[in-house]
Amino acid sequence: MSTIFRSEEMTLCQLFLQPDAAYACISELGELGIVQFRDLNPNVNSFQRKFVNEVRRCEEMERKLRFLETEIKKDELPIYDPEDNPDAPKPREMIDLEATFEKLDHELKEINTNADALLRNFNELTELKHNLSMTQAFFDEAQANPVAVLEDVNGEREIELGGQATTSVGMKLGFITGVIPRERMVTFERMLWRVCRGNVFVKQADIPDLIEDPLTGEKVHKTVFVVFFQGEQLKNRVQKICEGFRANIYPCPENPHERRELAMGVMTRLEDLTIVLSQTQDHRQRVLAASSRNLRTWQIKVKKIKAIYHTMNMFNNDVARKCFIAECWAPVTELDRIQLALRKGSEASGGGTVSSVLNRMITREQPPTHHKLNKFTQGFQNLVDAYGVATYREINPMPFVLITFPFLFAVMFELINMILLSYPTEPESSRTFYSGQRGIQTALIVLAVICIPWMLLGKPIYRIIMNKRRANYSTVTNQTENIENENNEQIHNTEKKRGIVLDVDVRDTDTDEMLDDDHLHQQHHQLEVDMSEVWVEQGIHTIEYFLGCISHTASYLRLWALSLAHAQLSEVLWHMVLQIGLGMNGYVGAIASFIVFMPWSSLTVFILLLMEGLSAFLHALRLHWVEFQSKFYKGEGYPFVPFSFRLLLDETPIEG
Amino acid sequence: MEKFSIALILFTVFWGFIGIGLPFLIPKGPHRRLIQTMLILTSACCWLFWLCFYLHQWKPLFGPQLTSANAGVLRILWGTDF
Repeated sequence: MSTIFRSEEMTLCQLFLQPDAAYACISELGELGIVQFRDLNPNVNSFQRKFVNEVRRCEEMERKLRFLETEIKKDELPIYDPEDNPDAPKPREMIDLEATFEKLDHELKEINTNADALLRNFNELTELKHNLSMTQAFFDEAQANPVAVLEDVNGEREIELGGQATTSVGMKLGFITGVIPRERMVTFERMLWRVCRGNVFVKQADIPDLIEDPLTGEKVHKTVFVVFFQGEQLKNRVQKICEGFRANIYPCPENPHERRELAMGVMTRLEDLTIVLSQTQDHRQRVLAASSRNLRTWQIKVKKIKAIYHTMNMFNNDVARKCFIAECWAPVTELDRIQLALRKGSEASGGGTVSSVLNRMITREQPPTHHKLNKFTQGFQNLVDAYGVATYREINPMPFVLITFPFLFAVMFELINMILLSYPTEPESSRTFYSGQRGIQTALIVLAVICIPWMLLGKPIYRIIMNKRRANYSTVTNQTENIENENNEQIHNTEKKRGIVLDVDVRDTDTDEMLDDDHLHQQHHQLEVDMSEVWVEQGIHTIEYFLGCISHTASYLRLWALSLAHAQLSEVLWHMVLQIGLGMNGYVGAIASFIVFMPWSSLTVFILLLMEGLSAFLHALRLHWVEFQSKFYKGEGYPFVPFSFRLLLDETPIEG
Repeated sequence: MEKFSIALILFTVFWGFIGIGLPFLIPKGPHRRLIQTMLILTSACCWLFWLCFYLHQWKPLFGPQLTSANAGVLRILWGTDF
């Protein structure tokens, strides 16, 4: 019966899949999401599995998609989410996808490198332009004060400052112009002064615009400088210092005509570069926009392909029979849907001659615990599972928790709960709250006393009866078992487990002792149960229960304690805070109330609602875990984690 | 005293019907046990809730508290014989 009282009945199934149909069948099962595959190759290294190449290809595709996503995010383009769920593509479509990604990847990388080179060029030219304009200003200024004949550093030609003649002494000065970040200018000057012992002359001018540094790509303030010196030695020293400070040196022609020509050339080149740069950016935007529409779909598809190949790596490849053998846990009630999915997969992959086969197996292994839940019940189930996942087919405390948890939370949070204790100042304990209380008290005590022998004796008596029954049964089946064991050994070499079990499996569902070994010839060892152990265990449980009765009952006093604390807190907040405001009369009172409201409301929210709420939640949870679940709940199961695309896509959210 | 017992019986019967009577009337189906459990649990919790409130108000552990300032005010407003 499929309710939430117990976990679902699960069965171990064997799937025989045709190699062509395997991919499509797994894809269908992934969409369905109700089987949990077992790894049949646990000892195989992940690099030696059958489909390791396909998985590698998927990872490569994912890497390219990630690169694409970062590029799209850099340009702040919107990424469109797909409305419907794209199916896993067929194996041949994988090659098309790979080609598309490769092309996109290559194109983007090319665009990026081109854009970088262009940008660098652009920046250098910008700096050169500023350089030229600034040095022009220097020389114009120097025209007013003719100093000397300037010697070009590169060529040994005499130049004339503004066409004017030199003095008779004729000091020949060389110069170097360049651009340096503004913050380094001062240290640069000082270094030049120290190294050249004051024999150089520096002029500088700040560039007003922010320039993008060609190397780092960030916008900085830069300064143009001109260094005048005399002689080779100084020239070398100045050059070395410029290199050390990573100043960009630009050649500056001496002749004003040539300077003007160079400046005009630089302008035209800058204009061209701007056009080219914007065109490159447009191209890049177009490429990225086109792919942003499909990005999410591609990512989902690649994820699905990878998941399918991971699953297929878990299968056993039977070469003799030319098929894949898979093992999975599935709920008994869903077997029809699984068969349907397998049939769909077989048809989709070309309608092979033989469709895939599902085979139920009987085993002694403990199946996973699966509860059918919706969003509402899932929350409470998580509270229970945090204590421990329910053992297979154990009573699920969740339905009870669903009602009692809000109840206890409300009790602690909301009201002063006067449990039926006797009044502390009243000396006579014979005072009754209501008629008939004495009778009820007696009845409760009697009930508690009856529990002791019930608990102590119930389980052993049940076990004794079951043992007697099994002893009668096993003598009958022992002979047939011996014959079957011989058959077992022969088949054992070719197949690990038998698909169909011939004899009736007397599996004791009450015991927690499930064997991992599912060879049937060890069944009869289990029939001998040690009775003394059962007696001891029951004795321990009874004592535990009896002591627990008192301690757990006292533990419920926390309901009173918490609700009292809550009441006191709210009273304090009322008297100390809000009443001050409300107590005043007239306009003053109105303003005071307004001002007082803010601290009162914030304290209420933080202390009463949040802190007390958290405290009530915690104590209600503790009451459930310790006082309720420790009485009967074992919680030694493992959860059912089906192979489901929906779970896969949810747990690794694609939106970064 | 009678009003107390009438109210007690009324509410006990009400929640008792929901918790003990209704479960028998649930039609057979896959969720019968579940609905019965829910009904019993809910009615037990609600009845207990109500019972605590009611009993506390009938035999309260402490009554309304009158500060001396308020007592003085009342004496002035209502006179000495109230």
